[in-house]
Formats: sequence, C-alpha cells, structure tokens
Amino acid sequence: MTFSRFVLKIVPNRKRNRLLAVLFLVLLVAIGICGYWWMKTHMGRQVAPLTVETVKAGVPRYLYTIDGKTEETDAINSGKGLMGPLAVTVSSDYVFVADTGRSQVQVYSHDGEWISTWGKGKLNYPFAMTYADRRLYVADPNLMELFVFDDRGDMQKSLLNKQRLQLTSGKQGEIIRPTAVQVGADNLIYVSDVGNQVVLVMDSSGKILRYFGGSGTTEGKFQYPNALYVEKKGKVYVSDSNNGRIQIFDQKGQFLYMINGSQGKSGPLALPRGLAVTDSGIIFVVDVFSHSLRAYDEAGFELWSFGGNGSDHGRFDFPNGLCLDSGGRIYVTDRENNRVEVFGY
Amino acid sequence: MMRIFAKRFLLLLILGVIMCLSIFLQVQVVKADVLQSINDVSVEIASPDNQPVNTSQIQLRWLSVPPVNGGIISYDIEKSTNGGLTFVPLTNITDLAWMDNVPNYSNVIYRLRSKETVGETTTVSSYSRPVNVYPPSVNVHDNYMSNTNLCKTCHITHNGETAQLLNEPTASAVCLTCHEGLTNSKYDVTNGYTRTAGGIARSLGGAFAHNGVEGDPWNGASTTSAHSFDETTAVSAPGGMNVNQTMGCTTCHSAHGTGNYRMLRSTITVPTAPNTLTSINISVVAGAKTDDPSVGETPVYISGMETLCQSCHADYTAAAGAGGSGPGTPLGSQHGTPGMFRHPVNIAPAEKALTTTLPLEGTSITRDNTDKMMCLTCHYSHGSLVKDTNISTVVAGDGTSIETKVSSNLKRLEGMNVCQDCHKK
Repeated sequence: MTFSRFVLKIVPNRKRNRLLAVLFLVLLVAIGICGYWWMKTHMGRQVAPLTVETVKAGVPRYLYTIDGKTEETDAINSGKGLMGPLAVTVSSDYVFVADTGRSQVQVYSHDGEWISTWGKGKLNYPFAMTYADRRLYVADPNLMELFVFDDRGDMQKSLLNKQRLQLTSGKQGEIIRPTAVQVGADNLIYVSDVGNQVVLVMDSSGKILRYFGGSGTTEGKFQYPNALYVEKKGKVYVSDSNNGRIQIFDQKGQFLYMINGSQGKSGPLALPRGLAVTDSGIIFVVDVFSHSLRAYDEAGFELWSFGGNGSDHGRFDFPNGLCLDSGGRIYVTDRENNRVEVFGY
Repeated sequence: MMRIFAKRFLLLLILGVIMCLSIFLQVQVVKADVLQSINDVSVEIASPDNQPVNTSQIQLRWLSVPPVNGGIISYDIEKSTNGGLTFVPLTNITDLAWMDNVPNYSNVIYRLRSKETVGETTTVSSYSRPVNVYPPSVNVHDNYMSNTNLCKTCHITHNGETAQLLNEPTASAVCLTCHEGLTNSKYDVTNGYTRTAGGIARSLGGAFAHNGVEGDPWNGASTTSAHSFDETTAVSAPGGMNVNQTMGCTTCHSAHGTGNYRMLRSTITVPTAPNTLTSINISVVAGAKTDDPSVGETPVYISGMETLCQSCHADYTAAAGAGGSGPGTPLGSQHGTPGMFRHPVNIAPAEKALTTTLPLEGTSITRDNTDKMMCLTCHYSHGSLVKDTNISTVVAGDGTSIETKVSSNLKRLEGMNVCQDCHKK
C-alpha cells in the first residue's frame, strides 16, 4: 500500500492535502539542512589540485584553522590546543602538529578535531616531522635525536643517538643536531643537521650513507639549513635559512641552482624555513621574518607572496612549518598565533 | 667728574679688550686630544673549506682611528677564554681586520684598543667594549655595523606597536620571540636552557617559567619563583622603596649591547624616595667560561654585579647593622627597612675561614674563597626551580609590619641549603 493511499484512507481530502503539503515542506527543509551541513563540512574543504596554472593565477584562499579550540573548551587548558607549533605533517587520516612549546605532538583529524597527544615526556623540542610508511619521524635538536613513532603513537626507536658525524676526512665532526627530516622515494631518510651544517642521507636503520654541504655562504654550503623537501624524482630542496636562500641539489648531492628571491617582487627571502614542492614543480616556502607564504616556479620566478604580521586569517606571526597533502591543501604552522592555517584553491 | 668717568671707562675698555683677546687666544691654543678607542667592531663567523673540524673562523673588522699627534696608528687585539679574568695579547697590526680560529660552542671575549707611536713615545686608547663570540652562532645583538638588516627583526618603521617602534606590544614579547625556546638562539630564558655542542645545558640565570620536562637539564623541575617580566604585573622590590612597578626584560637588559656582561643596562632608573627617580650607573664586569663545550657555561663574576641588584633591593646591600662592608654608600638612606641587620655581602668566605661551592665575585684566577659574596651567590637572577616550602619573613615597606609568605625567593638551593653550603652547621 503506498503512502498516499494510506493517508487517503485516514484523513479526509482537504486535511490530507494540507498535511501532505506540510510534510513535503518539512522534508524539503530537512534535506536543505542536511545538504547545507554536508556542504559546510565537506564542500568548503574541497580544493583544486595544485597545478602550475592554478597557482600562477593567484594566492590560495583560507580554508580553516586547526588549533584544538571548540565552543566549550579553552584549547590550552583542555590539553587539545597548541603552544608555539613549529611543524606540521599529514597522513591520509591525521594531521600531526608539533606542539613545540609543550614538548609534544598533537594529533588531529583532517577536520581539526583533536584525537591524541604523542611523545609527552619523551620529547623536549620537536622541531620538524614527516610521515612516511606508517611511521612518524620527529627531529628534536635539543635532545639531538630523530625519533620514530608507530601508528599508535608509541615511540619505536631513535635513529641518531647523539652521534657525531664521521667526516670524509676521517675526523669526527660535531654531534648531529637535526632540524628537518624527509623520506625520499628511494626510502632513504634525509636529515638536515645544523651541528655540521650538512644534509645527511641515511637508511632506515639509521646508518649514515653520505652527506653534503658544510658551513659557509658560498654555493653548496649552508648556514642553518632548517627545512628540506625531497621530490619524487630525487631532487633535494634545502631552506638555507641564515643565507636567505633555497638551494636545490640532485640525488647525489651535487649543487644545481639556488633561489634567493632577489629578482622577485617581494625581494630577497629574509629567513626561509618550511618548504614543499608540488609534483608540478611549484615551490612553496614560509619566510619567517616577513611573516609570509611565498610561491616560486621551478625556474625561481616569484609567483606571489601573501601574509604579513598579524592574527587575522591570511596573516601570520612567525610562521615556520609547511606541508602539502595529496588533495592540494597547504598547511602552515603559525607559531605565535598558536595555530595551523590551511589554504587551498 | 667727566675725567673720573673717562678714566674708569678707559679702564673698563682695556679690561674688555684683554678679555676678548684671552678668549680669542684660547681658541688658538691646541688642546691635547685623547686617542680615540674602537667601539664599533663587526664580527663575521665562517667555516671555509679546510677549516679544522669543530672550529669556526672569526673575522673582526673595525673603523680606522685618526692619529692625534701625527704618529703611526696600530691596533692591539687581546683575547680571553676564561670569562674575562685574564686577557692574552694576540697581535698588534695596522690593518683594520683580523682573523682568528675558535672552537665551536666556546665563549671567547676580544678587546681592542688603538695605539699611537711618535718616535719613542707610545700612547694607547682605552679598551673597546668586550666583543663576545660563541661560534657557530652570530650574536645578532651586537653586529649592526656589518648587517643593518638586523634592525628589522625587532623594529618596524611605520607600524610600530610601541613608542620604540617595536613589532610586538611589549619589549619582553619581542625578546621572547627568539628567547623562549622556539628558535635556534643560544639562550632560552623561559626554560632556562643554553645551547651547547652536546645539546642543551642549564642557563646561568635559572628559568623564568619552565614547566618540568622529564630528562631535561633541570631534572624535570618547574619554576617555583621568578622575577616578573610580563610588563603587566606590578611588583615591589623587597628591600626597596615600597613602590609598585612593572618589570620586563629591558628593566635590566639593553637589547643593543652595552659592554656590560650579558648586555645588562649601563644605567637604570629607580625610585629612591617618594616621587623621586634616580638614575644609577651600572658596570658589571663578568664572563662565562666554557671549558667543556658540551657542558655549558660556568659563570665568572669579576665586579659590579651588586650595583644592579641594589638599584631596586637597596637595603639588602646596606652596611648598617650587618657588620660586613657594603659595596659603598647606598642611595640616600635605607628605604623600606631602616636599621635592620643584614647578612653581609661583599665579604669573602675566607675572611671567616669558610668555603663554598656557590659562585663568588672577584679577581682570583682559581676562583677561590678569597672572592666575595654577592647577591648571585645565593640567588638566581631570572628564576629558581628549587622545591621549597620554607616560610620567608619579608618586612613590608613601612618597616614595622612583618609579612610571611611561602616562596623559594630565587634561591639556588632547596630549603636553606644556601646557608649550609658555607656555614656547615
């Protein structure tokens, strides 16, 4: 028996029609509310892929913030917030943020909902992270360690153990002080080291295979390499912070070229830190002292820069870390604003 | 009558002419100029190829000094690696640049002076401000000559948030953007860490606001008492005028370097009587040794530290009733607590046949007990992390009422171990 016939049976004509109309309206409104809610939570976060044309066309839009705050809780006191976050990295399920001011890592869902805290009591100064192969790597330059967490947040091992770098000359260098970590498509772990001002390459057991760089201001030398990106094809991009430039090397560690921003509209990079490169070759970099996010093309030509010091969305206060997810979202840790800002097209 | 006036007028005229002539002549006399000293030294730190491992190359550069007696100008460079206790002459050169190799993560102090040689006679200028170096880091506070872009890290020309054109709402907020542990800076004053070759070590000043972290240099302890530095909370100094003031980093430190140890201010303005502010000169000569780069700094206090503390805490260094010799006349009379007996400062443990492990101030090379006590012997300057449930007696500003409160009072040791360390009862 259909619904209308059922209604026909119970109620007389006019009343039935009115009732049906009301029910229909209620249904429409319900669908409308559901649709709006769905759109608000999902459509607003859908982004376009980061192709060269998209990025060249203009700056990305602000999508949302991850800071652990909800209507009910004060983020810091609830333990779900951030204090001086310096690094961010993502997996398909989670967003990991280094809650550096409180010596721990906060784990959020992609919607920004707090899930868990990792590394409490074990970390001192989580400075950089990367997620690869179901493991979270955390570089702690105060403890001079590279920690590896498994999928459940348990610390599996530390890969550096405060060791000194064995130099090719046979002598012992300084104790390795890691400031960035990335895992290449070759499954090797790349680590930037400000103790010796080099980039190290090691295997998954922590054995150092080779290194390149050295302290200095000339080509191929570093002054505080604070961030790294290893692209799938093997090129290594290094944020050579105190030299105000990004240096690009091939897989073997041979210097290829550098970008210092001096040709661009925004001028030279003041203190480049977090960086990431799209598959299409676009380089995104955080410039701390100008409180901005910049984009350069493969040739080093500046595409745009936005930000400036402030706390509105679209402004930053000592931004530091940067990562991209596979969907095209750009995550920036905004240290003094105690949040992660997410942008996209 | 006219003749008398005429005579006097003539006398006055002659006197006037003589006065004018003497002024004119004065200008003609050549004044004996003092030889200029060097106070603007730029430092560059590099590690070129073939640099010995774990060392950096320091390059000092300065501007030339004109001769005052037509002689030949040269420059003396001296170096100290024991916190400024002794300086060793390195060289005398006529160039305006000098290079030296220094082990990484070690404190080195240079001082320079100009020298003029005329025939057999040599005159020297006074020494430059100490040039502090801790490779591989560059000290951004004292290197404006070589890199004026450094101004931008703290100042903003057209959108300043303070009258000093700072880029944050308070001076302390500016300092903390680099010094609260979220950068590669040498000092983290919030957590009380100093960067060393081996990671991090305890900072000499203690920690302003450290929440214990397991396994860290403070063994997981948290700050229990500290000087206020938020520029918002009004506090009054025990042993000082009963006046409430806010405090910040710039109460004691100057961001631009003054020649004093740790960039302490060279003058400080404090209330010394109701509605009266007095400017006091501060001269603190001290350093920090780094005998083992992985261990961190060991303080070497040479002179003047109590002049800073006594600016606000004047009564506690006053001599009256204490028996010890204070470091000179306190400002005006004692402020809040006149006539009370004090534990003496500026007295050496050796004078009473005592020994201590706590820091003393003086010039002995071996840092023995002939050096004298001062405020920092028993107290941290920034904050203490000792656990203490000791009830302290604090005399309120009017000298009559007694307050008691629980505080670790920035002491270096738990309980009253600062007493036991010397007195060994």
